[in-house]
Amino acid sequence: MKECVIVGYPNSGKTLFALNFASFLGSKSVDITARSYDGLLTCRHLSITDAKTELCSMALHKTRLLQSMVLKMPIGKATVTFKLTDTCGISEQIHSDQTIRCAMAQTLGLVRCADFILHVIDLSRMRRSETQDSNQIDQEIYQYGTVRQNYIMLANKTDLPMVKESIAKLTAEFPHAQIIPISALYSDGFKEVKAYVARNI
Amino acid sequence: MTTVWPQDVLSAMADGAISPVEAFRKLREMDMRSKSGTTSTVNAPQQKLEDIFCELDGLIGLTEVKSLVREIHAFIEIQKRRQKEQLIADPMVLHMIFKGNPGTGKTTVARIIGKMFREMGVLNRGHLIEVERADLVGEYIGHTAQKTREQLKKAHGGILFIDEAYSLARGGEKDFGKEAIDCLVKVMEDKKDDFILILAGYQHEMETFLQTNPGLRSRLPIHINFADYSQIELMKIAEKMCLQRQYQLSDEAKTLLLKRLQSPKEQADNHFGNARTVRNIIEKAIRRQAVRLITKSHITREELMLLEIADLAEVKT
Repeated sequence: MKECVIVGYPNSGKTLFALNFASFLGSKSVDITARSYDGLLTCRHLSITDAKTELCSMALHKTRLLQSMVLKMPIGKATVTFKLTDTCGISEQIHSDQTIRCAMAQTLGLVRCADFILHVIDLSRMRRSETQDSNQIDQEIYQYGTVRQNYIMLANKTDLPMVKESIAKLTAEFPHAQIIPISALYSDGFKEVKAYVARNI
Repeated sequence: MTTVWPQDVLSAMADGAISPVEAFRKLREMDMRSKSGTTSTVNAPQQKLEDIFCELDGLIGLTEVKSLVREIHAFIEIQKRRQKEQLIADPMVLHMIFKGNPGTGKTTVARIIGKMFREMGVLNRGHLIEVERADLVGEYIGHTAQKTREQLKKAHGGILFIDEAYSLARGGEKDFGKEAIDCLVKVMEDKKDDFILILAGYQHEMETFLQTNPGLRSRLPIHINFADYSQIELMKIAEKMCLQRQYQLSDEAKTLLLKRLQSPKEQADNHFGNARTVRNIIEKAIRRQAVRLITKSHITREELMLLEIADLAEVKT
């Protein structure tokens, strides 16, 4: 089974994307397997609504474990299963909290062995940040992803006003990336993401 | 700080020695280097499988079990390749029966099999849910099916390991255990691709158990016998356990332990716990060593590591 990992800056909308994408693929509930840094596995069965209430938050670093779910996708007459893993957001600086540092290390470890990478970028943050330094981590993920191939960039939060120019800025900053504008909140652009995932699994 | 392997980079990042940006850069460099030499990322699942087999080979004794696990691995791999070539492939029913005395490594092997199946893509999650009669059998009519289904749901995508499974058929016709067996038999057939059932218990009792429901034997195609460990194997297990805990057995202690570790056949005792008994002996000896040393004013590093005959003398098997 192929594994798809969602990475990005904290609060870029990774968990919301994962859950809404599962819902878009027809799942009403999900079995979420959380893997801690020391390898402990915990499995929970949640409805999509409950999962959103419990796992999504405006606060930074809500996700501190690798949270995987197995999703089914109809391709032609067959149904193919794949693993979608949500990760702890990665920021530039060394974090003061050890749990978060471990979770970030876990994310990096998974990025190395996952079959393909979905890189979620927060367009509103792009708009706010003037210097390239503040997007350093996104640059690193992008460069790592393009070397690895099987990489796609999801420009999230298209539902917010004033983000159109950020998309243009994004294309200039990440010239070799395939960029899909999405809104994780309203499931916009998910058809294109689904087509990409279907090609890779 | 020098980092040679990717795992070093991740540990350094977790310890706060390097920032995520630096970690990314280092990993990219390493991957570039390995790409020009070998293809490490491509072979990741294969590498993981090899690690799992190393873990299995690291278990002392269990020769028959090890060869059977490799046989299952080969069977699944070949069936997958046949499917790729559009050839008829046998349906993979992988429910199993583990027969053997306590402490012969049934649970340990089940865990390894779970990991192996996950890496091979047979199971989605490969986790192990370990249950016994009390977790499956209810207290009133209808409660048993509900409890059993709950456990089956937990085991979805992994392995449901029922220890002392023969106890489900122990209470006779009116016992609720029968209801649990009926529920299991149905699910084993309907959801054979979603989970793997392993029934474990003593050899003799399991044979009797299989006769209680005619559908059981045919639905559990893989039978693995866990033989009792020989005296020498138990001794090797004891030494391995000591080594893991950074202790050593003195020569006299080894001789005494060897005498104690008569195999169950010689002891004619069905309740001998094999490796588990060895673990209990070692742990008790460690505690006794602590009592012996605590009164000493000066203790050397060697003394802290050495288990002497006196530590084992009062320990009973």
